[in-house]
Amino acid sequence: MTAVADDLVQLEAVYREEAERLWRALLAFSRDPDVASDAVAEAFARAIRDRAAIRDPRAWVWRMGFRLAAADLTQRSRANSQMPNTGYLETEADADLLDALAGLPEKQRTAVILFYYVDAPIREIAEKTGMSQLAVRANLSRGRKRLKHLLGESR
Amino acid sequence: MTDVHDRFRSLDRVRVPELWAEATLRAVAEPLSAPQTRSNYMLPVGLATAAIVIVLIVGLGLLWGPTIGTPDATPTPEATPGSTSSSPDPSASIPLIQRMPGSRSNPAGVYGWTGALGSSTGMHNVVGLDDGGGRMTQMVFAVEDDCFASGDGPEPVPVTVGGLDGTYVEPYDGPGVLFMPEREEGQTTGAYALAIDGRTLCVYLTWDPSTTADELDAARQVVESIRGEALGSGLRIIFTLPQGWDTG
Repeated sequence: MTAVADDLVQLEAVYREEAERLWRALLAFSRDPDVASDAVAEAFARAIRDRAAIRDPRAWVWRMGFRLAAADLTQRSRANSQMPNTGYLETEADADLLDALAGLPEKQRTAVILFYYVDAPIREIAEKTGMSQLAVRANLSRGRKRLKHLLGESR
Repeated sequence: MTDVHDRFRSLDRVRVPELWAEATLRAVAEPLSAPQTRSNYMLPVGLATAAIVIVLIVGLGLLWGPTIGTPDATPTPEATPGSTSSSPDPSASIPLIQRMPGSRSNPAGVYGWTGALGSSTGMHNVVGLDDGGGRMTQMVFAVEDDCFASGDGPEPVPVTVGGLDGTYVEPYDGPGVLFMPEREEGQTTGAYALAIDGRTLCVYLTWDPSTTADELDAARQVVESIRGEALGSGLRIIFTLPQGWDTG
């Protein structure tokens, strides 16, 4: 068998282990399942294409997923034409939590999601986001305070 | 803020779509400017158009062609029953397709199958019809705890096939070993039980009396190309096919 096929098997194993948590983390980040799905599919597509240059595909797909989702949100915000598709989420996820997360700046939101939902320590959050550990600490500290405040207001 | 942790767990109730097939399709398409439009992500594999399939085939050939060559697993002739010659030299531009071949006219390439414990699938290669005769090689994959539990054959012998350890029985006959509905006179089946990632893949290879040594060797090379991993109760495998195999 080929090295390419072996690479693909390994990447699919990464997908099976990471994709669900990544998708849900991106859902929390964007409040939009379409954004989450697009970012996950595109992140893994790029991982397949660029596999030779990726040393740690697990961290890489998280970084890429959040980058793609953030870019998508920015683009949609500029276009201001499509509202997030959040309807069915209200019966599944904690809508107040998602609303509160939406009130955080992007980097704080990312750090908070990885901390609370993924249970990732500072070092892992840094790997998954590309931020320095100091930046993660700062964003996490501010984000947690702000989230607490927002959740208090939303109750 | 334990309460916040609990509130985040509500995310686990949201159903996550299966996106691996979509990712592989995107990987072989033209690079997209990020992010992609939302209309594309929901593209179901089952609705992939012929154009996308063409892109898949051609794109993978272009994308991965230079790195795809002769399977890297070295056959072990002394342990591989019936192996008669060196491995074929696949094209340098074999497309990578992760599904079973279609019902007709499939190109050479890497194909795949995912099977739960107890499930099976099959394919065949029919040659020589234009000569008025025709001969067939059949291959059935199954995921079972014991590949030889319900059939008849001599004692299994240990083999190593393409790096996979297992056992082999020839001749073998039993339920579910043929792709075609009935066994024809003179056909022989060799049955492999290959250990993959804690599971057992059964491969039942059946050939006609008129099958040539080269044709049989090519079929055994398919077996030797198998790689896989456990997936739930079953297995996901990929394997390299020469041109001509189909599921029709």
